[in-house]
Amino acid sequence: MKLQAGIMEYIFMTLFVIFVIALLVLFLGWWNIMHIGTEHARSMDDKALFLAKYLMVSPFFVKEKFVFDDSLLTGMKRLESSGKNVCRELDEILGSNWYFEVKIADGEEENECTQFVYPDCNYWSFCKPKSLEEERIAKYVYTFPVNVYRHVTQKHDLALLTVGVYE
Amino acid sequence: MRAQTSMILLIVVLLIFLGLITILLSLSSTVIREEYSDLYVNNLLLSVLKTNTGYGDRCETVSDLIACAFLTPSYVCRGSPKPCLELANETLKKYMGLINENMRYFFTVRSASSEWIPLHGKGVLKLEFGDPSLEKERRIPKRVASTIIEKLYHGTEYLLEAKLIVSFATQK
Repeated sequence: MKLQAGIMEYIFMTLFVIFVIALLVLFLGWWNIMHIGTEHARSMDDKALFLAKYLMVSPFFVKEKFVFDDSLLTGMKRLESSGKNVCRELDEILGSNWYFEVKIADGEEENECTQFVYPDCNYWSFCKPKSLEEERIAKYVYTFPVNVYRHVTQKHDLALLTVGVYE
Repeated sequence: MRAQTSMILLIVVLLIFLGLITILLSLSSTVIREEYSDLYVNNLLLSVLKTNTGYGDRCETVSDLIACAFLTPSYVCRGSPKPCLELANETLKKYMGLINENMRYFFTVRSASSEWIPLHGKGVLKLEFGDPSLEKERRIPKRVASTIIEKLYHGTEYLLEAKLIVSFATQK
């Protein structure tokens, strides 16, 4: 009887150890998946932040640090409408799958700037996903307050820069 | 029996250890968010100060207007229906609302010099705009940015310290 109890105890102990090992394996698997997911999210986050920081000082778009130049932005849009793939060229410098937009914080609806409506406009967007399906996966989006220098009025307007990275 | 208890104890300790690592890992991802918040608030302060108000004279930009409100609060700028102090309050409220209407802010301006005496008895010791309770609240997450406004007035240069406290948490 004592021997049977000892064997039973041994079996229970073995099962318990197997259960713990299985739990550990599951945990390590989950941990690995979590880690990969976190690393991916972090790299996307880093990319979005880097892009925002780069755009805010890039001589392609700004007059001075954090001050976008409306004529440079509209000039880029003009290049785009003349058939040049501005996005692809920017992709070569900054990598792919991202977009950015600048909107004057005037409380009015978006009126996209082109050479035809300039300077009576308040919104510029570059490399933005065209379809709603694509837009839905732009998960890493950052918004920053910036200024836009309006050449015609020679004034600084308050604006919002939005940078998004999509998968 | 004693060996079994030790083994179970060891496993419990191991599980606690793994749990702690998981918590630390999840905390590390919030560091980037803090970097974003700092950059956001810093940009907010600098951008708002640089923005043109649409008024002339001493109130061309928001930083000019704030300096006017600090040095000569009752002065009425060209094109403005109100004195500098009142106009500064309204302008800041408007711009902060345009950037983010759910954001709480507290904006203070004081002289960078400790020996500041208000000009001709008309100036002020400290300017406060927004929600003053934000400065004292300790439990809510908030971000702070500050900068120096340089203003030349009657041949003398004044250095004003502008500080902005922002919280995105909603009020209870």
